[in-house]
Amino acid sequence: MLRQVELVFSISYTPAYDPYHTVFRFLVLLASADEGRIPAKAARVADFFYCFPWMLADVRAPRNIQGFARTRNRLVRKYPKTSYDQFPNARVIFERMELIQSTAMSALAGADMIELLDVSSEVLKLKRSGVPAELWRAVENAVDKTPDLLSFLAVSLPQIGQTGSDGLFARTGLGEFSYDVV
Amino acid sequence: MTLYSPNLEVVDLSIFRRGNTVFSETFHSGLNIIRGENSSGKSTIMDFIFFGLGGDLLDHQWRESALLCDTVTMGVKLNGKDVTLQRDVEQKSSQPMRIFFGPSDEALKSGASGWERYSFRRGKSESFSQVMFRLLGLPEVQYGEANTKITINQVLRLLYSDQLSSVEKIFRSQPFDDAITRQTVGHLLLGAFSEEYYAAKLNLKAYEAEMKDVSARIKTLIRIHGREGHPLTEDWLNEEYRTLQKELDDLNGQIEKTEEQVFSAQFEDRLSLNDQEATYARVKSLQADIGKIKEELDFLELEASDSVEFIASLTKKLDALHESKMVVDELNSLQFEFCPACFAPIHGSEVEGACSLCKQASDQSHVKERALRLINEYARQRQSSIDLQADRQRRISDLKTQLTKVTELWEQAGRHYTVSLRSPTTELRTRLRSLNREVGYAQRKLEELAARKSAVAELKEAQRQRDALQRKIDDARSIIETTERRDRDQISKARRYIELEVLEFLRNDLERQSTFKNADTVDFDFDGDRISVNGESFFSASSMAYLRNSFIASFAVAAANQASFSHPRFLLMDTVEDKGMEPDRSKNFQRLLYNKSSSSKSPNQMIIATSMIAPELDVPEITVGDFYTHQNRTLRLSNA
Repeated sequence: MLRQVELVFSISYTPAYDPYHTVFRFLVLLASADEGRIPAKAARVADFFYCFPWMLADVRAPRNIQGFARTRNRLVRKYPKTSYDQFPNARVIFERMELIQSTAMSALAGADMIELLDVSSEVLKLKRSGVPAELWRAVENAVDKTPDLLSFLAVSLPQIGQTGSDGLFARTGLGEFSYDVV
Repeated sequence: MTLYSPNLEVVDLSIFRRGNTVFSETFHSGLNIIRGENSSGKSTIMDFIFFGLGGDLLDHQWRESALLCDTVTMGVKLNGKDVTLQRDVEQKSSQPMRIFFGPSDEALKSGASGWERYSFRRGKSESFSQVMFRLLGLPEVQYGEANTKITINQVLRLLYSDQLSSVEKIFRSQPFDDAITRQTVGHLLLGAFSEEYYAAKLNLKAYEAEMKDVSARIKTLIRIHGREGHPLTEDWLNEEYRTLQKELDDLNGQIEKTEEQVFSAQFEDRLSLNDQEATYARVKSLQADIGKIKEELDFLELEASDSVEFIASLTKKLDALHESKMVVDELNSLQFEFCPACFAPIHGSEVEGACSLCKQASDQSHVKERALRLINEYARQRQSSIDLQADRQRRISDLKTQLTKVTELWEQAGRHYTVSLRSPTTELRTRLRSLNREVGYAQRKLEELAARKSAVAELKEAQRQRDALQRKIDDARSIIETTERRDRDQISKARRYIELEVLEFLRNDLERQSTFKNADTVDFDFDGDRISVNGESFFSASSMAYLRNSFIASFAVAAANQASFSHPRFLLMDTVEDKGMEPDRSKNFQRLLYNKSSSSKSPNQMIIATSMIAPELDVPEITVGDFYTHQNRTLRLSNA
């Protein structure tokens, strides 16, 4: 059954697997972030939820971030899953997206649209001057379409710590716990 | 001598300044010659006659000495009837006129009483042209599109040969002159138009307008009251009455019988459930209909809402594809660092521009093409879904309308059923009820027929009017046709008469212009405003003046000899020796004119001004007033 759904999902076009659209989504997320800056890992997670916002329902809300749960619930209601969003397992998709996302990131860096600030901290920072004007207009348009969702994904979500059992992957269920490099 | 009408004759002319008479002379029938040196005021008198008769002098056409005068009073005979005309001197065109119906001596004695004032143009009240036309028996010719009517000024333009107008022209010149006016005036004086013709023309117009109304009314009546296949006639109506009446009688008979039966069978007739059963069946079937419609509606609405989601998801995909395409446009092909299948690092390809994964040579245009193809596909899919959705919405709204209707019927049936449950009826009573219903229906039809009866009467009257109008229109048309034919004959005959007269004037001219001596044909155009002799129309200036004089004179002479002309047998000529005409040529013309005037069949009047009168014409019976000189001018302004 899973295979079948996966097959249907892949045959029909999905932006999640389109590296070019992934480039676009990163630009949109960065445009919505404070100072145009998001940690790479958080950017990947945010990108996933930007594609499948109803999946936010499964994110465990951290207490220390004010209004996180309320906003999450509101967004889940506002961007529901439709019968046309056939969907295999979230983790499978997220894993498959990884390679595409990293390709998109390196493409962004190669085109000089982002700067990888610090290799070790892996923070993406938008380089506004590197984005061609027409593409930037499209990015702004996209931000205007779902500003609430984007500010949640680009600002609130990255506030969750990156590691540990309360870390981003654990809370979103998108990956294994990760630990600090010892 | 018999008086041909119209006939215009000036009897006397008085000019006043500040209550004093500055000119006063009487005129006679036939040729009148005003003589005097050049610049002694002859032309001023001629202009005053023209003005006094109703001619229009424009601001710049007034002579200085004339403007010193106040009023012009003129005794005239219009078709032999004495009338006095009076106009005030004003340096403005379109001056009004006072008319006294009697000779001038009476008029001048009467003070202000007895005069009637008429304006130049017709407005709410009559114009003086209308009065004079009536007195002259001239038809008030209407012409052109704008209901314009000929004025006395237009007629005088053909009777007065003045010095200011060009010698090549027939008419006295005036601004805003047009060919149709000139032609109408010309043909009028040739005797072409009759009152009858104009009455017929006007009537025809009125009849045709009325006809349009009546036809429209008939059409409307038939449209509103007519029934398919039935002519809207009295016969049909009566037949319909008879049929309905018979039907009613029949029904009433049945009712009577049934009532009798009900009465006599009151205790035996058993209650019947037929009525209840029938209404119950109807409620049931309507309910089933409602169910079916609702079911279909639910299905469609479900599909529609699903389709909304589908279209939204396609739209989202399309948006993403457009966004993706923008990135493709900006970036070169993406370099995968790891293979998505085995996660092994990927090394650069040997071929420039080849895909980093499959190593096949590729270029960015393929990527763009693919994106475009996808966009195209999804856009098409979305459009067809949108179209289907529109269809669905239409069907939904149709079904909703249907549902409302069936629900209403169902409610009605339900009420009927409740009633039938309350009052179980007998077979006979049910029949009685249905009979009564039929009677009601027949009665209703009778009422409708009554309404239609008045329409039939109206139609009949309208048809009668239409037939009468058609007869009148036919009559008017035939009058117009015959008069038009007569007019054409008259015009060509009259032209011939004038031509013959002009030829005589030309042939009797002193031998100055060879064309005149050998003249065979004279042609003239009122609309073109020109005369030609043997096809030529340019001669020396004095010959042009002679030709024009001959034409103006010939028109009057021909009219004085032919009763069929509508020319007033009057002329006013100030151009006898215009354009350096030699004395002998002028005197010759004067003699010719005198002979023509005095030998005419009908009384006529020709008033000319000359500085070189033929000696044998210088007799009191022919001349008017003194021989004027610079010392003895026509207007004795020093007296005033």
